[in-house]
Amino acid sequence: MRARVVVGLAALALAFSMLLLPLASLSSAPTKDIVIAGAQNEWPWGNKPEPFPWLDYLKSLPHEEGVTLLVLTRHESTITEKASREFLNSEVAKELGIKNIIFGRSPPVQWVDIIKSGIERGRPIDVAWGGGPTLFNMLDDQGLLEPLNPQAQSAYYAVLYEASKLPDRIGGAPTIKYGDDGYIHWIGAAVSSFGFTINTSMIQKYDLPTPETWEDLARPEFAKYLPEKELVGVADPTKSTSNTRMYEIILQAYGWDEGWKILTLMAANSHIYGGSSEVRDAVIRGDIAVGITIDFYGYTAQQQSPYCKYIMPQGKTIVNADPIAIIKGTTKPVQAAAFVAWVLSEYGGQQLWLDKDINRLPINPRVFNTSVGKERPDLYEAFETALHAKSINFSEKLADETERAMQVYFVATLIKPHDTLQAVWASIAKAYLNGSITKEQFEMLVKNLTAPFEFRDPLTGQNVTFTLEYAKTINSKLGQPDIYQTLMNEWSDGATKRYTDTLLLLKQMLKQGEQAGGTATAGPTEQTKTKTLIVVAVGIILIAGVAYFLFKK
Amino acid sequence: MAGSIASDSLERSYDIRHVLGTGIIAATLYYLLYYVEPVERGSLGPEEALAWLVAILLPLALIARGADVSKVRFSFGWSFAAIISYVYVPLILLLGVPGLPRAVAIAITPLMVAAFAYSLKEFITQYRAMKSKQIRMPLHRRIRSTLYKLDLLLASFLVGGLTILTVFLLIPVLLILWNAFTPPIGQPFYANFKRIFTSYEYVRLIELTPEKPWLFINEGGTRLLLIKGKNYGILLNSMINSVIVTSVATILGIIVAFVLSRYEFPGKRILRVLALIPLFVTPFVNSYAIKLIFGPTGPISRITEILFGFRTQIDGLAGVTLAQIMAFYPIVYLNAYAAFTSIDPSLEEQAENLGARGFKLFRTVTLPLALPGIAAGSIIVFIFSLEDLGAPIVFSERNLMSYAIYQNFINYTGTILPEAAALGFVMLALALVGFLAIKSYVGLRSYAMLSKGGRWKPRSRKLGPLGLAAVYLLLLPLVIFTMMPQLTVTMMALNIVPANTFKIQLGEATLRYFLALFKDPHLFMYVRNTLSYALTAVVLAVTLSIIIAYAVTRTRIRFVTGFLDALSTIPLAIPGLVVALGYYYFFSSVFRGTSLDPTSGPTVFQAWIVLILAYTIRKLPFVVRSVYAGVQQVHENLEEAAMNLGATRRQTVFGIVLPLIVAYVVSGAIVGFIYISTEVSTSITLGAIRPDQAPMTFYMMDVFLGGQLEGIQYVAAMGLLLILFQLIAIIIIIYGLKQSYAFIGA
Repeated sequence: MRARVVVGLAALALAFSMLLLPLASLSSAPTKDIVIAGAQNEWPWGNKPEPFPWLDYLKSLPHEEGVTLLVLTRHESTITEKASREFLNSEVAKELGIKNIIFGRSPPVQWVDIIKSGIERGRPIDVAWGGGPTLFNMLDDQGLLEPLNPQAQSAYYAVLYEASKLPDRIGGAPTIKYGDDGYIHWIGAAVSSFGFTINTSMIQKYDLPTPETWEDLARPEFAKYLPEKELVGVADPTKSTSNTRMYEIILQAYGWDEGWKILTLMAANSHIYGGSSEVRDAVIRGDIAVGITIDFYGYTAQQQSPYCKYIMPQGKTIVNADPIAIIKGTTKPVQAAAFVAWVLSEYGGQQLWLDKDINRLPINPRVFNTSVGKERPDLYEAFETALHAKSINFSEKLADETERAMQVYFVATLIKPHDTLQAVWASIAKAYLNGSITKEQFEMLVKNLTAPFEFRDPLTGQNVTFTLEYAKTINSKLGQPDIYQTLMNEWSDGATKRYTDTLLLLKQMLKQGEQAGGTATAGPTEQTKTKTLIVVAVGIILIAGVAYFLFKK
Repeated sequence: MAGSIASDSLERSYDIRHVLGTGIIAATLYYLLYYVEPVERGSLGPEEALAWLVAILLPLALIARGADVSKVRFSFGWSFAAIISYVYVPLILLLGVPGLPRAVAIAITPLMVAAFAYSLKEFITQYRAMKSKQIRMPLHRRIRSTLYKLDLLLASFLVGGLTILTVFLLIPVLLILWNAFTPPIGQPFYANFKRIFTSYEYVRLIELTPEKPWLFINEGGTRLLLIKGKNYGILLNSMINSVIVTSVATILGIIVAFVLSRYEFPGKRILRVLALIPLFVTPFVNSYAIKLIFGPTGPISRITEILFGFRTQIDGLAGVTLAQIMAFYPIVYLNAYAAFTSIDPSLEEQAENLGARGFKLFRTVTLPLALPGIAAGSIIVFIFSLEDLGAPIVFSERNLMSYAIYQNFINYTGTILPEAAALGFVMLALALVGFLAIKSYVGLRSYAMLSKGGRWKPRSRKLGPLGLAAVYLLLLPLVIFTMMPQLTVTMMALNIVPANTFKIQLGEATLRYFLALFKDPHLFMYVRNTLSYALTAVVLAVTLSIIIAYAVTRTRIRFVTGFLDALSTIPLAIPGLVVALGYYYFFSSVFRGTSLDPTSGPTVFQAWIVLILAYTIRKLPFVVRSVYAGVQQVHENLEEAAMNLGATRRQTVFGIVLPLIVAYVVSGAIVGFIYISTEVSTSITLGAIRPDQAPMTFYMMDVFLGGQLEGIQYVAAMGLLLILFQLIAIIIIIYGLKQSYAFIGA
C-alpha cells in the first residue's frame, strides 16, 4: 500500500509541475420364451407364406394410390435414408402405391405441436418412429396415438400379425404398450440399452481403471490430465435423447441426490460433445478413453475399431423397446399399417438394424434366422444378453415429469460453467491422487462441490434448492423464455459460485497442510516489501526517463 | 519547471509522439500500481483515476498549446493506431479488463483524445465554411431539383429496392434487438447484455487454477504436445480469435502477394496457381482435414516425432484459429495481389529517385498505396472469422460466440434464449464497428494515381540467390501447407485418405463416393437443393442488384440514395448467424401460422422459400458490387442521347444499359453463385428445421454432428463438387470474361 502512495505522489508531483492543473481528488427382468399369440388361421389372409403374408389382403382394402407417407422420427439419417430406400423398393410400397416417404426429424418437444398442426392443415403425420418410450407415452397421454383396433380398420391386422412375433418383455421392459382400451398403442421396433463404450488402447496408454458401472466414470483417476486432456465423453442432453435417457437412468438408479453427484463428477471428467454420435466417434478415434453411448453406437464402435468395447452397467441400466406407432388422424391407414408391419417384419425393417453402419438390436428374434441375420452372430449374442439383462425398475413417468428441468439444470450447472467445474475438480482430484489431502478431506470437498445450492425461485421468490419436487414443479414452466432465462442465470451463477467456493476450501486445506508440514517460505510481508522497493525505483526511473525524452530541448 | 515549459513553447513544437508519450507515462503509472496490488476487475481506485486523468488531460493540454496532431488523421500508421484506440479503449473499459491490457488502453487513450479533438476542430471549421457559403433555396425548388429526372421507372426502382431491403434486412435485425431485451424475471431490461459483458461465462479474466495453452502429456511412453489455447470466456475468445486470425491472415496475405506480384523467379506461374487453391471454400471438411493433419496421427505429428521425439496435436481454440487462418488468408492475398499490381509504377520510381529503398520504400509508399485493397480483405476476414461455425463445430469448441448462438437453434427445448438474441446483437455490433472503423480509415487513404488502371509493365525484378532460397524454402512450403486442407478433402473424396486417420492408401482409390452424389437419391437431393436454391437466389440477387445499382447511380436524393447504397453493402458486415436469428424471429412472428413459420414443424414449414430469401439478401453485396461497377462504366450521356431521341426510360434501361453491362452482371452472378452454394450459417440453422429441403452444407454439418460413419467421405465428395464449381467459376471469369478474379472487391 505504501508503494502505491509513493508512486502516486511522484506522479502527482509530476503532473502538477508539468501542467499546473488543479487535480481534484477523485472519489473516487426375467426371460420368457418367444410366444406367438394367435393361432395361424385367425388371420384374415389365412396361411400365406412369409414374407409379408398380409400384403395381398391389404391390397384388397380400399386405399389411395400414389401416396406420400409422412413419418415423424428421431432416427438419424443413416437409418432413415436406408429405410426409405429399402421400403420404397420393396414389394410392399410398390403394391400399395406408396410413391414417397418423408422423414421429419424434429426435437421431441415439438412433436405434439407438429402432429396437431399437421391435422389442422390437412397434411397429417401418418407414423411416428423412434425416440424412446417416454416420448411415445407422452404422445399417448395426449391421445395422439391410434389404438390398433382391427375391427375399426382391418389393415391393422397386418401390424398385429407382425407384433405377435415379438417377445413380451425384453430385459424386463414391455415390448408393446396396451392402452386402457385394451388395444395396442405402440410397438417396439428395436431394442436399446444404455451404457458406455471404452477404448482399451486409451485405457492402457493412460493407465486408467477399466470402468464397469456409471460411478466409475466419476473416479478421480479420469481427472489425472485435466483440464488439458479429457478422457471421458458425454453429450449435451438438450441435443441428445440417448444421453438424456442415460442421465435419467443414473438419477433413478442412484437416487436424485447421489445421481446428481455422479453426473457432476462425470461431467467434470468429460469433454461435453454436441451430439451422441460425436461421443462415439471420439471413442473410435481414441480422442477419449470412455464415452457414454446407446448400445448400438457401442456395437458400431466395436465394428470400427478392435480396441472398442461396449459395456452395459449391470443392474444399473435399462433395456427398452424403441417404439413405432400409427398417428391418430392419418388419412392413409392402410399404407401406414403396411409401413409399420414392414418395419416389424424379419424380411423388412428388422434387417435394417443389422446393417454394418447401423448395428442396432432388432426386436423380432426371427430375423436372426434369415440369411442376413446369420451374418451377425455378434448382434445375436448382444440380443441374448439384452434379453436376459438385469434392469433397474425405471419409471418412465418420473423421467418424463422432470426431463426438461433436468436438461436445463444440466446445461446451466454442468455445461455452461464447465471449465470452472473441471478446473476445480481437477485440482481436487490431483491433490487427492498425489496425497496432498486425505480421503476424508477429498470426500468432504466432493460433497461440497456436488451438494445442491440455494437459488431464488422465480415463481415464488423464495430461496429453494433443486430437489426432485422442485424439478417436477418447474418442468412445465421452462417453455416460457423469461422463466427459462431467469433460471438459466440463477443456476449457472449458483453453480459457478459453489465451484469457486470449493476451490477456496481446497486452497485452505492445502495451506494448512503446508503449514503443518513446516515448509516455511519467505513471509508475505517481506515479499511485498521487496516488490514495493523495485516498483518505486523502476517507476521513478521510467517516469523520469519518459519525461526527459518528452521535454528535452 | 512549469515556467520553463511555457517559455520554451515558442521555440519548440510538440507533435503526436509527445501526445503518445503522455499515455505511456500514465500507463506506466497504472501498471506499477497494479503490479504492487492487483485489483479486481472493474474497480476504479483513485490512483487509477489519476492515470486516466493524466492520459486525457495531458494530451488536451498539449493540443491546446499547439501540438500538431494532424498525423492522427493523415499518417498511415498513426491514424490506424487512432482507429484501434477508438475500438480498444471503450471495450477494455466495458469489460473491465485489468492489468496489462488496461495499461495498453491507457497508453493509447491520448491518441483517441487527439483524434477526437482533431475531428472536432475539423468539423467546426467545415461547418463554418459551409454556413458562410450556403445559398438559401426555396423549398419547392429543392423538391423539384430532387425529383429532376425521376420518372416512374426510376422511382419504382428506388422505392422497390428500399422496401425489399427494409423488410428482409432491417426489420429482421431489429427484431433481434427487440427479443434481446426480454430480460429474466425481476431484472432490468438490459440484463441480457449486462450478463454478456460481465458474467464469468463470457468474460473469464480470473484464472481459477493455472491454465496452460499448451502442455506435454505422457501417453503410455510417448510424449504428446497438446496445443489447445486458453479459455478467456465466450465473448473474449471470439474477439481474440478474430483479431489473431485477421492479423496473421493479413500479414501472410501481404507477404505472399508482394513476392508473387513483384519478383520474378522460376516456377512463379505455378506458385501463383497453387496460391489460389486455399481459396476454394469447402465448409466443415476443410476444418476436419486440418484436425486430421494436426491430429496425433497426422503428418505434422510424424515430423515432430522424428525431429524432436514427441507427437503434436492441435485442438480446441488453437485448432479453430489455425483452421480459420488457413481458410481465410487467401482473401487477403487476392485483394493484396490486385492492389500491388494496380499501383502506378511511377510513384514508386519517384520515391526511389528521392532515395527511398527496400523496406522504407515498401512502408512509406507501396503499402499505403495498396492499403485500401488489403484493408477491405482484412475486414472481411474479421467478420468471416467472427461468424464462422465450421471450425468450431468440427473442433467441438463451444466457447465461441458463433457456437453459443448456434446452440440455441439445435437446442431441442425449442426455445431460443433471449440471451442468444443479445449475443447475436453483440456480434453484429462487433462486426459493424470493425467494418465502419476500417471503412473510415480506408476512406481517407484513397490516393489518386495518375494512371490508375492503366496498362503498364508491372514492376518486377529478378530475385537473387538469397531471395530465391527464401522463396523455395519458406514461401513454397507455406503455400503448399496452406493448400493441404483442399488436397486432403480431394483425397478423402476419392478415399485415398480414410475418414478417421491420416494415411495415404492409393490402392483404395475409388470414385464411388463422388458418383454417389448423383446416383443416390438422398445425397442427390442435397445437391439438387443447393443448385436450385443457388440459381434462384442468384437470379433474384441479380435483379435486385440491377435495380439498386441503377437507382443509386442515377439519382441524387439526399439521404435516400446514400441509405439505399449503404443498405445494399451492409449485409457484408452482418454475420450469417445474425441473419438466421433475425429470419427466425421475423418469419415466426410476422408470418405466424403460415407455412413460412419455422415453428410450424418439419412437414409444414417451407424452408426453401426462407432459405432463398436469406441467400439473396446475405450475398447481395457481392453481386451489387459487380453490377455497380458496370453501371458506372456506362456514361449517362448515352442514356440522355437515347432519351432525347424519344426512347423511354424502360427502353433505355433494357435496350442500352443492360446490354452494355452484361459481362459485369454475369461475373457478379458467378461470384454470387459460389458464395451462395457454400453458405453455412442460415443453411444449417433454418435448413435444419426441414431436413428434406436442406442444402448440401446442412448434410455436411449433419455428418459431423448427426454422425454417419461413411458420411465423411460423402461430405468430402461434396467438398470436391464445390471445389469444381469454383474452379469453373474462376476459369469463366478469367478466360471467358477477361476479368480479374477478385472475390471481394475493395
